[in-house]
Amino acid sequence: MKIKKKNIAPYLLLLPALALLLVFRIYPMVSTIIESFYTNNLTADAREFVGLANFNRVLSDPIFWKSLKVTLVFNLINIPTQVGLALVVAVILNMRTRGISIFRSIVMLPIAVSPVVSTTLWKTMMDYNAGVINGLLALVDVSRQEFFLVKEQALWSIVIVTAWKGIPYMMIFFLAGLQEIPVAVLEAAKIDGANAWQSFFRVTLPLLKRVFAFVLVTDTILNLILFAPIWLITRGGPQLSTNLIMYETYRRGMVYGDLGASSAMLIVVILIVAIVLGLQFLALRSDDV
Amino acid sequence: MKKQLRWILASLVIFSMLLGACGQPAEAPAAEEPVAEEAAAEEPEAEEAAAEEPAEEEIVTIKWLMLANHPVEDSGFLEEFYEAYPNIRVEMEGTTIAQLYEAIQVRVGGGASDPDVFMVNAPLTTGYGTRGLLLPLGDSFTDEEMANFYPAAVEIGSFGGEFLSAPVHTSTQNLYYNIDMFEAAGITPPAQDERWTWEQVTEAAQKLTIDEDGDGIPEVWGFNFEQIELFYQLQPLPLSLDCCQSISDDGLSVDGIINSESWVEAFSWYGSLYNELGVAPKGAVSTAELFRSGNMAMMLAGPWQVNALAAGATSEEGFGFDYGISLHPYFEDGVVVTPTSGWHLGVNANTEKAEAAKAFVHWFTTEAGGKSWFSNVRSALSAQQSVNEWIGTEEIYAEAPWNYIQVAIGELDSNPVIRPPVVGYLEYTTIIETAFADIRNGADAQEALDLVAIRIESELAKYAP
Repeated sequence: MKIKKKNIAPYLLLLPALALLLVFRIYPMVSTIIESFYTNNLTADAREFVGLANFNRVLSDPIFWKSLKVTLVFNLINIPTQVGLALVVAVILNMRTRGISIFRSIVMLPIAVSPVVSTTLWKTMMDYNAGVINGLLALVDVSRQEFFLVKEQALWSIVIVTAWKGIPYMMIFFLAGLQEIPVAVLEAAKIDGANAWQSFFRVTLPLLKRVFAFVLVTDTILNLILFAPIWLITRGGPQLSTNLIMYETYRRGMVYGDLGASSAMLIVVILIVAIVLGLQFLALRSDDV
Repeated sequence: MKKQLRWILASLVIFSMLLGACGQPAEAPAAEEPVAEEAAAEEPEAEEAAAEEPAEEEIVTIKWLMLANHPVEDSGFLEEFYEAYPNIRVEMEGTTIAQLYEAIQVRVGGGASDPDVFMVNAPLTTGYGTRGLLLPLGDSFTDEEMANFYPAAVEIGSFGGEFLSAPVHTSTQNLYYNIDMFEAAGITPPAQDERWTWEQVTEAAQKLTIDEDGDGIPEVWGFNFEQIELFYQLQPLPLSLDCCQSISDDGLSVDGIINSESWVEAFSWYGSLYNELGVAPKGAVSTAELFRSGNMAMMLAGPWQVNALAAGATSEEGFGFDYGISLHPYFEDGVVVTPTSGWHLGVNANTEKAEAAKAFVHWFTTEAGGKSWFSNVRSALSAQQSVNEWIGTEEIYAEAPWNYIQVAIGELDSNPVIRPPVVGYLEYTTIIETAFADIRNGADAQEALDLVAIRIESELAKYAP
């Protein structure tokens, strides 16, 4: 089939983006899949094909399962917290009251801060010895909290750190969705006798379904592969209580040089993420999603 | 059909996003990114010297991955090297210990030719040697030079019959104490040649801990370790109770060793210092700073503190208190065990500047470099016997507190136990140190050590033949 001359332009325009996609997305993807079937045997010049051995090793490793459990617990806490609070904040910010734009700007401020900077700030603020939060707690006679130092508090502390950026980020999408809803629809509901709650649950929420699905999927991806706060603050501790799967994968590959196991772990994680996303899509599926 | 296609496309995009995001470790804040306080490596002096002396094209610049807390810049150390080797320039890249390990793994392990030279934590020589990351150095040293190293340093720097990492330091640890605080508490401190038991240290630490305002946060802490949770410093604790195994002979198993009764007992005591007894501070603290500022009565610290403290104490401002030094403690029912070994230097097996890199390592780890390093950069004890003998003859080290270095040199022979030079030492040490941190922050010693035993064995399994 001949491509007509006038049809070449779009392909040429797409070429740079495709090239970048190839180098930065496709190549790492293929490389990871290939690597998961090899082991370098951790000795010089001894890379060999091992079939599914890396997957066997990973799936029989208690640390992998423990890490997976921590990741699932973290996400079961974190995703509903972030999505729920983002929706609440969006509804508040959608109100047409005086000075709301200033309030919106303040709430959105964390988005402008890089994850590394915000994580470092939280780490400093929640420091056991010199953190400002323990200083403030002391003013109201509350004993110093150990935050990232003990397993009982560490995961919750990470939830706070990630929520600080995650909630405003997700809130933007909800806010955009809320502003898309025609005022006439809400007014019609009001005329039909719906109170505020009924109007929210029976009109606003169903109309936000597409946005809701997008936010849920995005938040799930971001949190299932969360890495920076763990690397910067806890390094998986205390007692593996914050050892999220992406950090465990990184540690295997980049710290201990076990690229085969690390790649296999990554593929397993990706499959789990894909299944979770698939279930989310199914749960939220409707004609207009 | 259209809807199905949309689903397939959406799934593909998400799958690609996930794999792409996960498959690019370089996007993470990885070891290659220097942290803020780490001095980057522009060497203006080097550039000036290069302009004065040989022609630009003859100069070979090598990159040295080193520790940011070794104050080489402006110390005069490299200038002395440049005098000996005017055609070589050294570009430094400073990093922390944890990031050093990762940088070596990612860059050198990934086949990069940069850095040319890097610091090697002595017991890691075996692991790096197994992976072929180090260039053999045996042909750079004469028999006489090799004999000048402490034998244990040569042993730990060798693997597979090759000398792979040249020793810079050897080390030990001593008990430093604030004499004024001891006097105020009515306690007689240990003499320079006296060795307290840990039980004596504990008793004194309880008396020396002062919480004046009763807020539960002492103004003066009784005792702490300098390298709070490093395996190097803490290994002698359990080995004092049960000397001297930290891993199985084949280097693959730790269950029943690191979570044995003696290890649990030693680390329960360690944890009690920070929790039940409250004589040592939890969290991230600088023990040496607390000692210098008069907020710490005793610390177990390395010989590099001799010069650092003496310089402060004899400066115009001074510390406002006297301090002393004694020998490394041990448990009453146990034996004396001290830590030893230290940093080595290795040459990247993939370097394109092997000759210059080897020349730098050779100069650094023989007499001229050893003396310069001790005088200008870090007063850790040298791995060269002749350099430590030379320290004894220097006038400045004849008087207190500078002469405390002699106490440290004398301690080198007090049953020094090296860290296990096994192929999986990196995994072993980084995982076991997480248990030490957890115990310090209140975790049960048995529980924490049981958990790391599982983790370590899980990691070491890959080295099984």
